[in-house]
Amino acid sequence: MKGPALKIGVLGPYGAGKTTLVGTLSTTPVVSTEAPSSEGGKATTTVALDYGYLDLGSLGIHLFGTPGQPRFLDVLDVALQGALGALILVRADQPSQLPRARELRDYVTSVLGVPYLLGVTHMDKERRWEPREIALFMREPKERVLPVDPRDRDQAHRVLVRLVELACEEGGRCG
Amino acid sequence: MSKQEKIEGALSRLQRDMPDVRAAIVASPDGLLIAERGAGDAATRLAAMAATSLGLGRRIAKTVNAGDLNEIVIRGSDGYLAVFAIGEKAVLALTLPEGGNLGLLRIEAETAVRDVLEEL
Amino acid sequence: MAIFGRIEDLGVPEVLSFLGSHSGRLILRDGATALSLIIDGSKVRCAFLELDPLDQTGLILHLAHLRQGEFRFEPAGFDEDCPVALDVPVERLILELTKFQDELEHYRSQLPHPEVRFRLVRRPNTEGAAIPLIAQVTHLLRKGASARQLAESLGLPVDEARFFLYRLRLLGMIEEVKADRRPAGVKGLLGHLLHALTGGVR
Repeated sequence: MKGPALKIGVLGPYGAGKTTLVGTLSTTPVVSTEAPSSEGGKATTTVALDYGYLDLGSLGIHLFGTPGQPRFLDVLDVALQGALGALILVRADQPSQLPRARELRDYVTSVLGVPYLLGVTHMDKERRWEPREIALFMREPKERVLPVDPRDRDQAHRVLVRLVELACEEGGRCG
Repeated sequence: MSKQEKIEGALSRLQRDMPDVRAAIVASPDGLLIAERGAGDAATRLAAMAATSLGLGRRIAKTVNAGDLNEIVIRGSDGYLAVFAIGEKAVLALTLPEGGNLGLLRIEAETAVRDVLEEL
Repeated sequence: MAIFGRIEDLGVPEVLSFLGSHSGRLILRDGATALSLIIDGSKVRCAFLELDPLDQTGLILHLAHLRQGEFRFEPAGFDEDCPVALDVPVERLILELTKFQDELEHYRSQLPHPEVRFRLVRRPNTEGAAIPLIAQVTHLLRKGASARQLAESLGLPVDEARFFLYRLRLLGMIEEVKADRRPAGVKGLLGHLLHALTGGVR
């Protein structure tokens, strides 16, 4: 691991694809802490965090995927200290989770105070919301809500680049 | 008596045998509260924290080749939180004030773990 | 557009708040019966229970009793299917539906986080001015305040303050305040990071 610690958080409601996204972006094996899920839809769920590292040569990004459920707020507080930005994932096919995604967005804006992007997953499902509709619900500009398949390297990479660009734009020029 | 009541019974017995124990919580491995005595409003968060600690603890134990995880103890200036696995099925978390008898706690916890495991 | 969901997950006030600036037909289905609202901009032009037209009182009553079921929204031209115009402002419906705090439990998952700070972005209009306590907190909300801060200032339980902010948010009167906690020394690195991520090509 070289250079300073640049950290990005991956947040989102249960089952949004956070663990998958960290796995796709990481160039090292992901260190996960999972337990059997009592909540259905998948076999395991994150109870601490998913740690991945994206090695870019002279620099690297530490990726911290967090558990989605509200009971794990303390984990978020600890794991996301010092993060330079956050990717908030939300499913297009489960509108029941939109209030939770919004809560996480509010947490990122108002408590963490870092740049963020919303990534919409499960776009392959037939009955789903469009990213611009999710943007309306969230009261976000369309440009901040992007579709992403967390299994796809190119798409995951693109969303990460966009987040860093946003961080540059919001923080002043990056040269 | 329902399963829930039996689990709560095991926690009551533990607290009766060791009155120092303030909060006793049984949680699922993914942090959902199953039963509690004495935890009050913090019960949901403590259940999640217990699962997080156990999950992390297991991973650390494996990484440093310490074998199967026995327990995790968080020790502060004013008290302890001890976390024990209930097989693969659940997690037991107990809080004690400073000066509490950790050795005795382990023995009592062992009984409680056995009793709760029977119900799960 | 494909906007759909379950009423018990989002709540009727939230659905109205979100769709209130669109034009089209909102269909709410509770088991067998269907409630249809023709929405145009910020007003409900007319509403039906199955095929029977509803008046304002009837509409509010039926919406207030909708606890579960499904909703879906079909965008369309606003002139359709309104033989008689009702023209109820959506804001008024939201206010009526969130008047009573014992409804609080239904909206619990939507209530804002107690530490998130909100700021007033729109002065209360005639409808909004009717919300109790709004006058007392306007100065606090101009700078930005969280539910916890409002609760302390007004001597209220935190949940009541959260409910208060929830109502204001439904009416579009407040917005989250951005905290600025970026870690020091990162700015210079972001340029390098962007370069490293894109290989210099963007």
